[in-house]
Amino acid sequence: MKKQKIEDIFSSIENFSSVPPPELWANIEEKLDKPKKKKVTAIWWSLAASLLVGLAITSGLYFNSNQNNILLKDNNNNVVLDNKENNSNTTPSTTNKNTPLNSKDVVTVAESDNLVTDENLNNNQESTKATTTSINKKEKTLLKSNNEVISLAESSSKNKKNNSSSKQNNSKSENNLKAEKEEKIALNENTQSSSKNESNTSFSKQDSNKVSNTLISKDKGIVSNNSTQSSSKNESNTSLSKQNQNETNNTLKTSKNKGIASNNNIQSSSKNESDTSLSKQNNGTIGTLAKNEEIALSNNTQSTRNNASTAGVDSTLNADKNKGISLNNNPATNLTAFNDSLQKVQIALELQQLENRLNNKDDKEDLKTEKEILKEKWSVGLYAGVVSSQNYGNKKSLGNDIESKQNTGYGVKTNYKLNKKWAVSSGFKINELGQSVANVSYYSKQNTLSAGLANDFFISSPNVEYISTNRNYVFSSNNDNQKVESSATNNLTGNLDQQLQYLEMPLEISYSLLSTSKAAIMLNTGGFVGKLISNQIFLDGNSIGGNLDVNNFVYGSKLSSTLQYEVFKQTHFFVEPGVNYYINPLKTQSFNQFQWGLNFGVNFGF
Amino acid sequence: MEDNLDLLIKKCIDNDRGGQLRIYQLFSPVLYGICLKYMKNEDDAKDVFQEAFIIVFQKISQYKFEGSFEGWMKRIFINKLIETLKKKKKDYHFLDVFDPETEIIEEEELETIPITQEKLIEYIQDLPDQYRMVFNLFVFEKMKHKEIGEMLQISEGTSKSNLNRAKKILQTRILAVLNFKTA
Repeated sequence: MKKQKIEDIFSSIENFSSVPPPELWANIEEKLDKPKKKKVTAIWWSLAASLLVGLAITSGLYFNSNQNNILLKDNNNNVVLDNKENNSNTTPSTTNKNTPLNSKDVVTVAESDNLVTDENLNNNQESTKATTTSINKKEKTLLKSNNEVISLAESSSKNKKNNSSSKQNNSKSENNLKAEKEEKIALNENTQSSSKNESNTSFSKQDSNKVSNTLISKDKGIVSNNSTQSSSKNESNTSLSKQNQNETNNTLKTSKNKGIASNNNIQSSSKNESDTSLSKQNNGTIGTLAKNEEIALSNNTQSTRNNASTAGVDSTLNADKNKGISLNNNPATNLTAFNDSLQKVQIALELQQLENRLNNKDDKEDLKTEKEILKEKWSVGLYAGVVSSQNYGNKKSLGNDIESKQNTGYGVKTNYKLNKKWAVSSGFKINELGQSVANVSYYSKQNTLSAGLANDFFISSPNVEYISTNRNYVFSSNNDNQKVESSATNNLTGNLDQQLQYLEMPLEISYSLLSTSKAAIMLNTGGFVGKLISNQIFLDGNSIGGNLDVNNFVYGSKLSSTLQYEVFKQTHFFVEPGVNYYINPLKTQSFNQFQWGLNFGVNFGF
Repeated sequence: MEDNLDLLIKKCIDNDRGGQLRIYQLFSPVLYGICLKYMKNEDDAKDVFQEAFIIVFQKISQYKFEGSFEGWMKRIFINKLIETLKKKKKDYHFLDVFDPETEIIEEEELETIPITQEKLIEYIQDLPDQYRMVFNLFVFEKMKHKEIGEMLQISEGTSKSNLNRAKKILQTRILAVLNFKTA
């Protein structure tokens, strides 16, 4: 007796198929609409959340800028550099008395002891608190309003769902009618005819032959099994019949567009070449006569075929391409026709085998791709990009508009996939926040002010905030009433650039909007903390020290989108447009807080 | 009725129930067969089958009309099956340590005996979850142990060991049938 390995035995069920119970479709159909609702709700929630975040940021900015404007207005006569700080009126007047110049209108950029009074600080804190409270109130209102939007949306979605449900019911009844119609089972036991059996669940097409047809019907009269046994010899003629035409013809059609039959049966057991070739395809050592019989006879003169679940022949005559083909024993037809048919069957089988191989290869590749996506839980990326610090609150500095400034940033980040959709990332980034102010009036201790006056001026300005590490420059507002009034001085104008460089550590959460084997689009949001590592002020391109008003640590929020494409195996190129918001770059002065950025980089998954 | 698969898929993308039903009719036997092979019993297979088919219809718009559609669906099903089995980790009978000396089982060549496909499926279903998964992936999906290890998050050795154990169990059962028949 022929021997085989365990794997060979089980390879016969490689393409095992079985008709699922009919009620499963009803369950699937029922559930098909449910996730849609979930999806719609999720979209609304996402939109609401995005709106909330966006509005919170905008309102924060709005209040910030309003606060600045108000303060600027309030202190118009007293404050030169448009500080957020609410300077007390007493201090400048005192200064006024003590200085030869009208120093209440003057801002000095000079290194000195910090003489900002406690009172000022307290005022500042209160003012900040007030702003925060007001923002919180605004946020609450917005939240409420958003909830209303959501509930409206939900109700709208509900209505939609009801409509779709009723539609579905209609469709269901139609399907039921259709199913009833299709459940008709025809079984022709005539020796020379073929029958077509089509059920609503299996669409199996069946033939019956004369010798002994064993029909095994499963639930609800759905015919899914058909086995044929024959012991006819070479003289028996076999014809190919195309099942769905219910008439015998010797044509084998392999048309891609002709539907995909899941149960194709080939029935032949004549002891001749066709049987041999078919047996070969059918891994023909295992067969059954009936479903519940465990062992069927297998001998040299009789071949038994089980088409019950289409496993055997389906493996070769794959359902993808062919209509059902049956091979009927028919003594009335001639041998030539049989040989032709046989050849066609063989060709079809060979084609199908090739196709199966290709399909299996595709499947395996697909599986690999999926695995690779899941496998790359971690990724490390390097990136660099350009950033543009923007002024969205019409903020002014020294009476001039603050302008945007382009800088660069670069960093490294690591990303961990929590699941297919969500990921967290962190890393380090060197980033620069900057601003420019054009046509700033200033006085230079060395060049402009006479030595005596300069000394007097610098020494006798106790109320002046010293915000730079260089004491030799005095900046004045461009406002006419704030200019330094002294015949002894000639004010110059220049462009003032400020640049703050931070070492930032962001913490972001990412949501994958789209993910394919090659490309991905993600939406990222989160916050960052930055440590100041460089602080420079440039006057007409020359460094004049740093700003003393800066905070050593800065906080902010981020919103970005990552567009990623796999260029090599596990290596992705990405582009990341985004926006950062810096909460507190300077203690009191106005500074650009918004920053647009465009990063480019590569990351490596592992 | 002549079916154009691409047209049917497009119908499914448009959430056309007729198209969905036709796709179901065409592919459900093969896919249900896969579920029966991977799950312990028919009830579990039915559950996963329904869930996976819903995923197919939900994600059908992601199908790029490249490669085999049946393969694409099989991939979803196998991932779903593995995900489901992974959730039942407590039922696993891991054999984590692979000792080549003791674990390699000499494969005995068995005499050809006709066994119904249903019986073979039953034998596979009776295997412990972990063994069954490894056996299915190795024998039917033609995956290598390294790939199986990555997919199931087990070592390559564990995969080999589980396969051997699965084979041993199946071999014993088939031999029992053979002995019974020859007796």
